[in-house]
Amino acid sequence: MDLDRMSVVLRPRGPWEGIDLGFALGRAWFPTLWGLWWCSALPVGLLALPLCGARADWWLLLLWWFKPLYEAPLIWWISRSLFGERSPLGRAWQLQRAAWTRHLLPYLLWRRLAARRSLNLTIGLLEGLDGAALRQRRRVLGDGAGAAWLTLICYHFEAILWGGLLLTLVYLIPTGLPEGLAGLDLGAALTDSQSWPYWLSGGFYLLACSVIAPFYCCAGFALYIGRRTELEAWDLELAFRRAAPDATAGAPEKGAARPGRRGSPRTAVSAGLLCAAVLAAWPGPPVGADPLPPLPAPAPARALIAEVLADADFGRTRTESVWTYIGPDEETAAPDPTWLKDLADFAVFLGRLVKGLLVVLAVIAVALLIRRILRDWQPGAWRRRRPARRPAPAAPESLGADADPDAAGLARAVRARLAAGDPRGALALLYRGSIGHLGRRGLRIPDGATEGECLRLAAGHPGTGDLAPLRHLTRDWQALAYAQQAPDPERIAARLDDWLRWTGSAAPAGEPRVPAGSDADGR
Amino acid sequence: MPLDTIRLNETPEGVDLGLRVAGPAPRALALAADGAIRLVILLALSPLSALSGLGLGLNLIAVFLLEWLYPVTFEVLYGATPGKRAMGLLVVHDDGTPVGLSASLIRNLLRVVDFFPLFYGVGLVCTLVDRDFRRLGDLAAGTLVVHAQRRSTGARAGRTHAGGTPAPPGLPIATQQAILAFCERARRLSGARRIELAETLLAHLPSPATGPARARGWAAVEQVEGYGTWLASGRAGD
Repeated sequence: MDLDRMSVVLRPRGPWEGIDLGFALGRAWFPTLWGLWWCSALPVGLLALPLCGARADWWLLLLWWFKPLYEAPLIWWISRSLFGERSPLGRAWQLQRAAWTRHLLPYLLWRRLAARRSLNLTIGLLEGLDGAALRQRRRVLGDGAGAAWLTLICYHFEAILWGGLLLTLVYLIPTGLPEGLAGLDLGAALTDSQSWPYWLSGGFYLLACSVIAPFYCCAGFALYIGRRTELEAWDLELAFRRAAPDATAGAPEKGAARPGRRGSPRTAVSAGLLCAAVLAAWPGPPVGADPLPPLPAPAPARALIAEVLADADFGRTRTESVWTYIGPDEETAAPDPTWLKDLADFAVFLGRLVKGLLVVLAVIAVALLIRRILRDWQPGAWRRRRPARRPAPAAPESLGADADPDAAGLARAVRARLAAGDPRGALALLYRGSIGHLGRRGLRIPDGATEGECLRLAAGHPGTGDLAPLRHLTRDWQALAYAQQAPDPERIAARLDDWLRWTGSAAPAGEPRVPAGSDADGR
Repeated sequence: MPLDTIRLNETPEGVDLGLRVAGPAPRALALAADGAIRLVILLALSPLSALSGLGLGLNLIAVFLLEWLYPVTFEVLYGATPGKRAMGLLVVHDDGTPVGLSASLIRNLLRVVDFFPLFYGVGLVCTLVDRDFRRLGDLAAGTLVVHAQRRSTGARAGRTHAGGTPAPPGLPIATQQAILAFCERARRLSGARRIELAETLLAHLPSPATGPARARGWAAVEQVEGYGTWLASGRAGD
């Protein structure tokens, strides 16, 4: 027996909890078990039909009596699949051959009415004992197992389902139908075994049996498993087998290492969010062979992160006002003085006046509006009169901006910016120049690509030359743009030299100009 | 993922609360017990019918109150009706907190729907289908029926022995718990099984660098129980 492949959690359970586990198993495996039940019950039912002379009551009794016959393959299947070995429904006949042993015989004869059938059938089928050994085994395992209650309850469940189906059908048939079609005769359905309502109700009962049977068998099996877990401490055996000490945990008392503990999804999500927030200010993963040293997170970056996290998108406070009745006010109880009455009359007069004025104003407004509409109304006029949409101002440092293809001119511009004490502008210009250069080398950069994606695309593109200058430049640019870390001018000058060498080495003259990030080149 | 009937619920403190949801079988029995209690009360009130019209009216009022307020009152005050209490069940919100008035009212008002068409037919089908064995009333009110916490039975580990053997360092928490459970449940296990289990544990622990060879037989059981004592006193004592 391989406890490691157990498909339920082993722990000591009371009988009721064991039955609950069985019902959960029955729910999880219901389709297969249900099909398996019918695989055995249908042939028996068809065989029994001529045997009992097509009398519905005898037929139903016969089918009911042979219930253990249909339950045995279920128990066999459950015992296999509990240890992770799922036989498909297509092998139903093999399952039945394996389950229909001579140990089943007592349950079809003198033990048929035993209340602990679910548990005892499981013991008899799975342990294959005989005589005194079997009796002793039944006594030990059946002690306080609640199997009799299970059988009683499941009979009632069957009855409830059967009655519920029958009653629902009766409720659904409309009254006042012509003779012959008129409602299902409940009396005949219960007593007259020659009538078609009786056959219908028998069919419903069989359906109810088939629905309850998987739960019944699983619950009996779970009782068996629970009792053996209690007697033989299977759960402890499993825990002891996994007892290899954690070499990394220095202090076991602290509970630092808890293998098997379920990771909480909420913590995972919040940790992921935090990581994402930090990583947004962090350069993308290095693409090439030489990994660059990671940037430290300085105070400005932390301040920026705090600012981003303080944004309304990450959580908000809402104030709600409600009216609550706090009881009558004592002052209103005092008798009204006459001047108050006069004031009220005046207020009413004022109100009427204002109302009249408002009505007049409204009429005038509507009239003006109609006049205006009539004057302006021309089909399609509104479309022409709408102001032309202004193009959004281009972001000065956007990636896809067309750059000056002339390397020398760009170098001049960069030096001018550096001289003017504008390192950000210089670096931005240089970076734009690089992207433009990549574009001229035939690299298509989609709109909205990040710096890291540009770098990755460039690495996968032939003919861009050695990417190390671009990689360093990108890193510097990211540090400046996202972490407010401006490099010193000498470093920018060095980057410019690198860049000139790169463009000079890789760019042949006379190349057609292809603006980076443009989609208009029709490829 | 092995199947279990425990639903873990994490509190804001990061503690996992295990709710052991109760299935249709114990709940049906609790329902039957509650029905029987109500029937007995109604039978006890039946002599009122001698007062002709007034008596009949009083009886009808009693039926109404029992039918609608009996479960709500008991659930809000004690967490469970007498029948559920007898079965060791509790009604809680699905986050594990005790059931409140509104949730209890909702789940008991919807009993009418669950009762349809006959003796909780809809409720039965619903509990069979739902993963947490909830009926419609439970789904609407956001409640669960769970097994109440049992009081710990059996001997406490570490009370019978004076000292203990220090357990090897770095034992996973699950194993430590299993060792303690082994000491608590030892009485209900047969001797041979105890030896087998103890030897299983010792075989999976690394053998000590110095000292005697791995213990066998009852010596192994004693050693594991020594670990249990040591673990228990390390927690409870100083």
